[in-house]
Amino acid sequence: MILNELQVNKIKGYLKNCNIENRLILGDFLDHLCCMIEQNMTEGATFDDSLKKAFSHLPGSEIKSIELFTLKLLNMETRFSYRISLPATIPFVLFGLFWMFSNSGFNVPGVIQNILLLSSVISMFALLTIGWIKDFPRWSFPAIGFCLLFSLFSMNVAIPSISDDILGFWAWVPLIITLIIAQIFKPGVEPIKNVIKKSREELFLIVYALYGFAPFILLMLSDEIHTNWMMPVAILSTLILSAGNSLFLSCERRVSRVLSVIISGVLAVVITLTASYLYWK
Amino acid sequence: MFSQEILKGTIKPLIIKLIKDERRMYGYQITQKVKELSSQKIVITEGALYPALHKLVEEGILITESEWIGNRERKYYSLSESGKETAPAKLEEIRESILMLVQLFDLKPLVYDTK
Repeated sequence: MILNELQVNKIKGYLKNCNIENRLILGDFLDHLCCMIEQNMTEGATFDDSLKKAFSHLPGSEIKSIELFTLKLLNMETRFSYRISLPATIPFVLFGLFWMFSNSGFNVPGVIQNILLLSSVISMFALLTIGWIKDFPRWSFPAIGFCLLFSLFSMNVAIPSISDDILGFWAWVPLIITLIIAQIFKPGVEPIKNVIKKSREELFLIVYALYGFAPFILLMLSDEIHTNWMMPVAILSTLILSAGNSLFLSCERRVSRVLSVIISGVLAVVITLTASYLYWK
Repeated sequence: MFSQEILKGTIKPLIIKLIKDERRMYGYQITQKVKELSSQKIVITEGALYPALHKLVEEGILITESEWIGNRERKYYSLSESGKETAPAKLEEIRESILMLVQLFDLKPLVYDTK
């Protein structure tokens, strides 16, 4: 006795309605429920009765709990408490503060601006180190994107107080040092394999990694702007980006996570571009 | 039926033993086999089984291969090469711990197999 396509699709639909997102768990429980139902039907029950019996033995809430527990066990958690998701936004907030002071018309001492910029960059590199040690849980993905893109971007940057030449490959030194420190605490390439595994499981994580560079992009979009009303623009855009990041880490459903990042990213860019356009107009 | 608390530490070795004997098994088959061999006294819940299976795969002890059964994919678990090497040691460890428990709880040794 093997269930037909319609019957299997009904069970698949039930699992999807229970918000079972992980492909592995969905496959496990689809086959498991089908086997339970097939066994019941072999004993003389109808499909519908067997279905009801299977669903009462394994309610959706229980399957969802098993999914969340298994993902946590495998370091593939998709949902974190606010205790974890809020600290992951610290680099965004620091960067927002730097942006606010550097582009506003207020005369904030350069030392404070430099401290804020350095703090935001260092905190991202620190997040990368911690992420490496913990096999790159989701909240560390923005740090991966930021560190790679920041290093790439900085290759074409010159630091006048040091030299007029662009940094070139010297721009990769902070990342290399970070990786060396990370290797001391956790040798091997297992964390990189985990990043690849997690990205394959959910491709949107690549977009989420690039999200880490979003504050820097907003800063570049408002380059050379010095006006008081950039302050509320910077505060608003930073809050939106931070909220998007926090929501991605705490939402239950994949659709909500994806939308939180896309909407917050687009909104922050639109606000910044609009402010930039009005200033130059 | 024994409580899950008692079975917690034995699930992984139990899975390894069953798969070692049967060569390859799928999830539902494992639950039914345990029920059958224990005369329904031991029931591995899905909440215990699937996390343990995935963890064993992550640890490299088990490997998976998928097959289409009708209109769905079934995942079969079998011992990896390194799993085949480490399985005897793991099973010996659980055997020794059970024998120790027999001693600690002052149980009649005749009920339990000795070498």
